[in-house]
Amino acid sequence: MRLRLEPFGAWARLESMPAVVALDREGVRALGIDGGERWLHGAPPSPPIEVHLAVTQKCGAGCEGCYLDARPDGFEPALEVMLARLDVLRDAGVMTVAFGGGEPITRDDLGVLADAARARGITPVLTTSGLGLSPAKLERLRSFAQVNVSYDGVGAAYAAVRGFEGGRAAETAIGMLARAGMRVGVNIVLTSQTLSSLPETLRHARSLGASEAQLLRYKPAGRAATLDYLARRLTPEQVDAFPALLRSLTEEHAPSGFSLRIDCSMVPFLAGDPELYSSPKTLERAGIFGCEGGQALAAVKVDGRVAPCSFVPSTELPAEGLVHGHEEDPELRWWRAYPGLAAEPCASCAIASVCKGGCKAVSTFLLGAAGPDPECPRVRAHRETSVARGAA
Amino acid sequence: MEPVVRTPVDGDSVTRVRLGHGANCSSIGSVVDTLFVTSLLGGAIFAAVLGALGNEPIEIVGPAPAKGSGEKDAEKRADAKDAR
Repeated sequence: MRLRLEPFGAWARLESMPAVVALDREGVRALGIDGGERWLHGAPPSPPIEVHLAVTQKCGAGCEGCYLDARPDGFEPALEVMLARLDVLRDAGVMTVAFGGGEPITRDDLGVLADAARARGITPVLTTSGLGLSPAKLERLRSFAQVNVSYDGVGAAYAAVRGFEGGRAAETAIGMLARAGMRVGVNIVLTSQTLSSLPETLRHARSLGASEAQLLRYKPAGRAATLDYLARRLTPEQVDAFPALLRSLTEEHAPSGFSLRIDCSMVPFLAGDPELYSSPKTLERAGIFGCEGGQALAAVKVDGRVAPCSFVPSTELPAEGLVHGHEEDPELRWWRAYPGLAAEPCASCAIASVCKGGCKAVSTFLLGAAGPDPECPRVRAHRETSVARGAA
Repeated sequence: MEPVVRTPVDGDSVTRVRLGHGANCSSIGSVVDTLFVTSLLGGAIFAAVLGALGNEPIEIVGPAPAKGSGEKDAEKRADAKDAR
């Protein structure tokens, strides 16, 4: 296992099973290790354990809601630049690097980058649209621990999210990767128009050979940062029903080994479920991550700047400075401090330690500044109560 | 240098278990299976985690402290390797 000492104890990435676990100090001591200076009062916060690394801004798909505003002639850093960034991630003790773009498989040296991550002790994973995945390109993906294909839905659902008919290409890619023996997942962006097709989409992805699905909230970033977002986001009724839907889908798929993931921005939706809301320790123990910007997560964009996540603007911190700059960068410090400074109803929320205030990309777009996530059911109820009181 | 003694990790010391590789490049994801599936399956996963913690060789990674006990840290790294 790869163990990184933390103020709370340590993160350990296991080798015999795909898992990252947090240990308290007693657990670390049981391994025969003492935290030394990392356990002293006032020890600096740690760099992220997962980094989303944009390897290109090139992409010909032209998805309507591309959060990066990727284009066919987008910027692409040279191989040696990317290798240097991987050096920094190694030095920071990053455990997982998720390669994205743009469309990463446009890079001929993608396999070299994956091998380089492995050589540095980092688990490389990849997201692709699957467009243009040829047998030769597939061979370059062998070093990735998992490849996720963007697959927003069966039939018309894909086009409803992306704005073009790419579903067949995604399905072909899922099948090719699975038949090649690679672990393949699907990324499914949920919109109000496509949520109803989610059960069918999951079944179809599974039938094609996918072993995992990550459900993603539609976010107002890049080309999606328009008023159209208001029509595409999940409705309040869909948000309220989401935990029950998630429960039934998990019960259907988990017994056969098909896993479901939710992204960090969907964690606020769990606040609407009485059982989950009353079990913050269960959420923590299950490894649920809410907004981890400035903490366990960072993004390195194609320009080499570090961002709290892929959906928000970069900080001034260059990737080369991540190891110690992560501690000192004022914006990342603000992101770390935010959960402790959050206003009501986040301040009194039982799952605030997991959710950490919801998605700041969403709240900044809707409110003009980061604040309690307006689409969280608890925040919505709080606002409605405040309005009612004001009217009275 | 004294040999490092490993003892079984108590289940209560495992405060978070994040399953899977996490292959999305834009937002950090969390497997929700263990939130909803039977306690039997959750228990089996947890037992596998504890088994791995007890058996896998350890490599310490991450940045060295910016200042302070570099030698002590190096000793600890060496100790951890001895434990393999």
